[in-house]
Amino acid sequence: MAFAETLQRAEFSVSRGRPAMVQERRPLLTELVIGGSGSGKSAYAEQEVLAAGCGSVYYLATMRVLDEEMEKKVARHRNMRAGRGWLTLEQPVDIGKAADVIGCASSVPGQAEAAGRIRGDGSAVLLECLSNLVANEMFRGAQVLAEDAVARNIVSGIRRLRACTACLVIVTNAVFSDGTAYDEGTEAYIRALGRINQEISGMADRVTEVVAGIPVRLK
Amino acid sequence: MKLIIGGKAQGKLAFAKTLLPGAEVVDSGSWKETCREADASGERGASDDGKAGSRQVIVNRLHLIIRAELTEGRTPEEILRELLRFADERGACLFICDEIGNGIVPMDVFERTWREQTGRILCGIAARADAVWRVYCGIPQQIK
Repeated sequence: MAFAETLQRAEFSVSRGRPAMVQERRPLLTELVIGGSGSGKSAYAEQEVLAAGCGSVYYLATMRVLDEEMEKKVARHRNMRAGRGWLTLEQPVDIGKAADVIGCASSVPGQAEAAGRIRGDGSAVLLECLSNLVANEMFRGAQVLAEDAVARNIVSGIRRLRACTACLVIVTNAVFSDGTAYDEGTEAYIRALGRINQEISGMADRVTEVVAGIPVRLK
Repeated sequence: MKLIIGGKAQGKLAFAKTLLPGAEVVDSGSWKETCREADASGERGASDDGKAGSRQVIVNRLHLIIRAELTEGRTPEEILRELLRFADERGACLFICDEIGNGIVPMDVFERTWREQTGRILCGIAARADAVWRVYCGIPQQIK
């Protein structure tokens, strides 16, 4: 289905506001996508978000662009999304704040969750990716934040996002199996990312590992 | 004998505890300590069933045990034989091991040997195990 058409459909359902339209929608979806470097996880995640057929499609970018290599990476990803109506939000820290822009029923997590999950307001969000977000939250200048605080902050931010979106796809990174004993800061980072992945996989409707571009369903 | 593999911080131990809720968890990273703690727990349990070492044991961080044993000059064959003997003598034994072989192959000989031999020992345990799981993002997948 063309993007313009899905947009019209979504607007139609919102303007009429009939309860029946809510039931006709594809079910609300939260999906965690994991894979290694170059596995094709981003392309898969983008397809999933577009397939939701939502009125607004947000790309939630978490990378802090610091050098030319990063600029190239961003340019490559922008090209992949070009012309498909993505709205890009840069949110390298405090991921829950993106919910204010996307528009949530309430900023109180519990209420927002209840209201948003029923309302399903027609936004689809691709959050890419948790590995950058955790690094940005944890290593702020010379300061290293505790892994517990980082994990709590990110998980609660994601709950807020989940409450105000019909489709939330979160990309994360497989960095757990190389056998290397890193310095304590890096080990804390790996533990925080592992824990956040587990919490999100617990709340997700789907968890998918992407291997050589092939999606393998874990949940 | 059961085996759980997976990367760092994936929720392997939490899942192991759901499989063997009453088991003693041994987490020393040393084989000598593991045997000592497991035997002590077996003796404590002796009044229940009269058999030392018949209690359930979860051996966590097997990759560190293998590393320590290789450092002390044990061969992979000796390590595997010892692990299988240990498991055979227990009522139920569950090994948990990190997957460590999915990165760049290290330049350092010992680091390289450790990753490869841990993989081979896991193949040996998995071949004899009645069940094997891989835990990823907290989700257990039974692969045997």
